[in-house]
Amino acid sequence: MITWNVPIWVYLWMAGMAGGAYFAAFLAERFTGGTNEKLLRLATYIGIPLVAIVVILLIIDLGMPLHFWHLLVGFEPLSPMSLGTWILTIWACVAVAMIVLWFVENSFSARMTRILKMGRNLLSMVALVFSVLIMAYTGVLLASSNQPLWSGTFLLPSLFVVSATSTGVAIVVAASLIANMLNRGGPAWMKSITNKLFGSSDWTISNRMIGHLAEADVILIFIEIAVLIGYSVWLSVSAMEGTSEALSLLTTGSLALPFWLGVALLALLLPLGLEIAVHGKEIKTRAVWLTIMASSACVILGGLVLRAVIVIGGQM
Amino acid sequence: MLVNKAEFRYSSARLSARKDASLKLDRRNFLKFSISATGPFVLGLVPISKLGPGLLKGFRAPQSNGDRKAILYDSAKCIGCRLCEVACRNWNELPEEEEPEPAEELSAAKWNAIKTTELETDGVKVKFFSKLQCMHCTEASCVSVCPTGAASHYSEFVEIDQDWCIGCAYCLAACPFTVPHTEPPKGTARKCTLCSDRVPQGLLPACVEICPTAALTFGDRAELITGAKARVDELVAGGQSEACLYGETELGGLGVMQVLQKPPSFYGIPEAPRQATNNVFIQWAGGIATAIALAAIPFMWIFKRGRQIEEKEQYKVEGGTK
Repeated sequence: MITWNVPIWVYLWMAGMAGGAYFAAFLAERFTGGTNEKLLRLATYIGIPLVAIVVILLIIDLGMPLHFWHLLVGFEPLSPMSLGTWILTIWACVAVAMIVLWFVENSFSARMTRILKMGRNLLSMVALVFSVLIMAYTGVLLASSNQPLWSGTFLLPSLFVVSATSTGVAIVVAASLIANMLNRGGPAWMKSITNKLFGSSDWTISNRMIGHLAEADVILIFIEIAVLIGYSVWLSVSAMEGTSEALSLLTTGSLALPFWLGVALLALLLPLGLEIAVHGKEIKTRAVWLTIMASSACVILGGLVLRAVIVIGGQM
Repeated sequence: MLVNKAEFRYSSARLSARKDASLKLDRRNFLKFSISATGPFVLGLVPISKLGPGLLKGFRAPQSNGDRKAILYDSAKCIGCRLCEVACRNWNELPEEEEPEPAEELSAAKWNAIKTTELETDGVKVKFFSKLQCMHCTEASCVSVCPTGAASHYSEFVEIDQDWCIGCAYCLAACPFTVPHTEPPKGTARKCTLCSDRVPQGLLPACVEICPTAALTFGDRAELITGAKARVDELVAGGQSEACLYGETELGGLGVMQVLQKPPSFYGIPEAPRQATNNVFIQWAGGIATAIALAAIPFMWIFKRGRQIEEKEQYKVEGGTK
């Protein structure tokens, strides 16, 4: 019986993507010397609504939706769902606090502004820790069970973390391309909104940065392929009862079509091919823009199919 | 005899039995309790009157197997009459089954079922019975994964508090015996309570009381094990060489043990059941380590390198102008 269905796999996909987008933007920003704060801001703007939708999905999928507050008056350290609820709540609160600081920090005296910026910097690191926990949580939730496909290996959290980072990068790339386009070619009101959101009138996410992110996703896809192979091999040799049957459900059974088309092709091979086709080219022509956009869309949708196949497969 | 449930559903005896079970406090549990209990109150989120079982789970350690009571099911004595199913349904006020044949599986409305497994040898079909119900594990998966503490140990019972359950269905995925079920399409998770509303009154669990062949017995767990082992020896001596006792040590000791005539896997019972969260720390560590050691690599590689190249280019430009 499939008890956990559409809301749950959409939930795991969105939560992972929110965590992955923040994780990717933070690292990209830090490793380039903190010069791309726009990127972190963009990831926060993506993450908060995703987490909000995630919380709504979780609540409506409960058998007793009006009892959801029982989750928030207790703390069960062994239960991944209890921990996950707190992790999502804390990440969202920190992210909202960061946004508030971004908007107000410059309206104080120089000394106060410096203190607030330090505070926001600290918060951004707390949010990084929790973004990692969000990504891991989506895997640990399923892995702490007695379903062979979920708990038969120790690699499901790893697979979900890599996939979450990959989809996170993809949504940041797609959002950057769209935001840049709206800021340059969009109507005036759109320009004024994006300017407000990013706190300056001459902001842009550089094409070089977007190109680097797309490159990072290529490596992530290679890592994801390796982890997926490791996960499959582990399932096939695991001593736990039912793991090889669970694996064959994906590779040759009733979920083979979504697995091969949706995961292997859409999430992994197709974006890999598209990215390699435009490798080294600058995002100046429409063809390159569209190719990167298409590859990001494949990664994002493929990530959804991966969650769907694993969540449904585990209950069959 | 069956007693009308409504008479003492809310009796003080039942409630006090629960309270006694709640007050097992050691230092670790106290610390866990203090942290989980005080946070929301400090934040002012919860009025004291809303104190729910979620905050009390830390108090309720499972009763040690030494002084625990248990059910023993002897599959060799069972005749498959299904009176235990009827008694369970009556006592727990569960709806009648609609199918013409009784379903040999558990559901939100069926907490106890006799399962028939047939074996054909030399053209003769022989029926073997086993009992499906909550095993009341010491290392209970439903208790460890429950995010609200609704599923919890109350002395020898593993119970899901129906007022506190949010119906997340996590226990359905976690239970190695697939016992809890949610009411379709939506509702709380429901399962056998080991008649926690009868036993504290000195009554037997409903299924045990009605069993006409004494295939079901209830009593001190240690004594039941001694008897069960003797019974297994008896069956083996009688030619049933595969007879075994299930539940003595599995998952820290089960509250429902079975004398089986065949190996557990014959009946579809897991040979080596595991608690859903027994690897939870490794799973967390694996996910976090992957983020740090694998997912971060491309960023370090591309962006750090990208920055170094940019710096070099800048240096060249600056060098050129000097």
